[in-house]
Amino acid sequence: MGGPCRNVGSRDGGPIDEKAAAKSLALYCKPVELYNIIRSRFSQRPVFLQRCLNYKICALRQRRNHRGNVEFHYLYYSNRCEKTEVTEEFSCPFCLVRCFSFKGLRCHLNCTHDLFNFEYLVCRTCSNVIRNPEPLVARDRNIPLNRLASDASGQKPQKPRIRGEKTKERDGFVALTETEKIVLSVKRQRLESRSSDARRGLAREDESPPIDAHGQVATASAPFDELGLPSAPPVRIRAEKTRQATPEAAEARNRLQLLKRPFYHSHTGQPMAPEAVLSDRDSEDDVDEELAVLEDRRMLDDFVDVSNDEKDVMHLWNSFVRKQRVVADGHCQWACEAFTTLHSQYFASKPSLRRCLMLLLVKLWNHHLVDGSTLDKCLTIVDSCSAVTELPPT
Amino acid sequence: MALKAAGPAQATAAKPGGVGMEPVVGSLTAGKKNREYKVTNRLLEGKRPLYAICFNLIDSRFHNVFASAGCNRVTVYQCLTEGGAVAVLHAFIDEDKEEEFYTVSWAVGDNGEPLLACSGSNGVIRIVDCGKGSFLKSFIGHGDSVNELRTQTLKPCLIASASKDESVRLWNVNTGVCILIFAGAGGHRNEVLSVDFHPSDILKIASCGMDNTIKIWSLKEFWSYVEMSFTWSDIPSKFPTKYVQFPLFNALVHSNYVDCTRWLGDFILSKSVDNEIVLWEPLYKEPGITANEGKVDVLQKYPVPDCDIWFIKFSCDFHFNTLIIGNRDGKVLVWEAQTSPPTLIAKLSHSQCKSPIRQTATSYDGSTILCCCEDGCIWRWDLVS
Repeated sequence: MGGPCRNVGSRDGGPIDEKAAAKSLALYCKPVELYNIIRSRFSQRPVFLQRCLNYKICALRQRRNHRGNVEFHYLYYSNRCEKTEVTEEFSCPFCLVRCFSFKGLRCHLNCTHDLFNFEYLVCRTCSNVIRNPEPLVARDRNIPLNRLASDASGQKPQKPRIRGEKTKERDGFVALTETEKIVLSVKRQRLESRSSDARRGLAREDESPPIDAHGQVATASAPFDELGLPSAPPVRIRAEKTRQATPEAAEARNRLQLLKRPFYHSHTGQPMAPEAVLSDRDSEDDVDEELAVLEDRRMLDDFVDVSNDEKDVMHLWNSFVRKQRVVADGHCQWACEAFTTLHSQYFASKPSLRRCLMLLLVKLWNHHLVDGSTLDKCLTIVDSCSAVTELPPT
Repeated sequence: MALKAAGPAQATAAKPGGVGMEPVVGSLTAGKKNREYKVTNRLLEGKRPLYAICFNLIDSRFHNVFASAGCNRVTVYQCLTEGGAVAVLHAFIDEDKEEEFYTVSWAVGDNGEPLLACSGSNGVIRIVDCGKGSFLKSFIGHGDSVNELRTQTLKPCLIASASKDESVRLWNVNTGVCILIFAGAGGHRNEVLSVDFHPSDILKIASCGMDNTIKIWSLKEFWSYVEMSFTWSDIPSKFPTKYVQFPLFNALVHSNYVDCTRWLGDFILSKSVDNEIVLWEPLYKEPGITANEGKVDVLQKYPVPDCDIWFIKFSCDFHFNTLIIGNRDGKVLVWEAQTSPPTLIAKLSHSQCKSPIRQTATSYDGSTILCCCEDGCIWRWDLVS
């Protein structure tokens, strides 16, 4: 700060200069001080009036945050899987439309997303729980859920639980357990619905080990006990079995689908043999190399002012570019070197061919596709090759 | 390709080119060699139009057998000598009622059996064995209707098909293989209406269509595949079908749809909707000279009055001496094809034959003329000796 002033001062040491330095320092500091004052004031009392109502909406939203929370429980795979989502301001989770009231949301869901079955549960507090089973869900599974939910709402106020975040409410714990209970009861339903003999036997075994650890919530959540660990393995085994069988079944089904109708080759329009349909080989993008060579030769033959050597080099280059799929400018540098290395013997065999290569490189250089060093490298490759071939006779 | 598409060569091609002589135009007043034909029979196949009629000039044993095609039906007849009688041998009806056959062509099977190839709006080529009267196989591949089928006389198991899908395909009837597809960068730009094999040069095919051009294709580079097709024993769809993208020659002779083309030696007879058939010679480019690309020498013209609608096809006898074509009013013109100037041999008309004649068929020696008409009739004319 004030570096030059101090330097001046130290060199001369005059009192007038000291004074001048202080003056200039004050000159510098004052605006900064003022700025700091203004800034601190501004943070407390905004100077400007808001001209737009957006801030009001924001404020409203800040207040309506805890009001319009709706918890959605999605049940998949015949209630075997559940996902939970919370939306704000009674907005729809599918199309994000804000409905502003629970009634509005109900209407919206029923009208717009009528492919799903919905169940609506309103709790005493502002929290709302909505279950959204898949269309496949059987009715009898929904009824117990209803009953259970009404139980829950009858007992204690239920608070919304935002996924992955513990609620900060005072009665958060209760809310959590209630929600937990509902979720688990769904599982219970699921297990009961299986109702195989083996399951029954296991369930009876389950009853024997007393579970006191959950004692404090035992009254409200008796089903927990049935859901104890011993019952889990059979479910898991069963799940694995189905998971193994499903891909195979899907494969078989796909196969059948493929064989059901004829497929045609995209190039020839010919009907495909079943084994060709089922094979992994895809010839769609294959380039007919033989034909490409023929067409290239024919194209080059049309030129009248080009020597045969030039045509040959053009043909080699075209083939190389096609086979190596040189498509981008950035490939050119590599392509030139690889091309020269590949045909170095050939280019070294005749001065005229070397000349053709050089012309080709110069052409590419003209288009800024290769730089001078690449040019040099390529020609060195050819020359070193010709040196080697010349050596043996000597 | 850019060179081929260049304008000047094509623009001059439409004009009488080559040696700079005006084409010789035949006179419509019948000359001295007048022949007399009379109607000997009239068959009504149905109310639907008949699009094709064809003598079996592929196999000498059956030279008096002919086939007609229209709606979903192909009928095989035998021409009897006595009093213009015609005997029905077979009738093949496609299961699909919507099918409309546009073309028939004779072919010869492995063991010399007479085969008939027919195709139409469905684009599927059906092969029937006329000896046994049984359906043999179908060739699938064309993406749209097939307008003409022709048989290679030197190898009567090869057939070419011209399709609305802008391609010409070469098939082997015996092995069921699609050998070549003539389409792509240099191919037709609209429906292909007609195709023909060179009578002596097995490597040349001419095709023409709605893009007003006539293209000559060379099989030279692809002949190995044609040979491969003769011995192909695997399933047909596994055959390495090749695309022939560039024609040997591209001619712009007409300024409208070209709906029929036939080789006359190395010359080509072609017709558009300009009331005439044109005989011209393709002037193939000499190596290293691009100036004469697509240049043709129009030799002579055979006027055909009232022949200004498309899909009217002419026919010739076995030796290409007589050239016969019908017109929009049901009249038939018989030209002597190989004289210069062309001589009109006969002008045939009948008071009841009023509807357009889609195609004619000429017997081996030109003594019998068959015409198939839009109104479903077949007319037989015989030479009065």
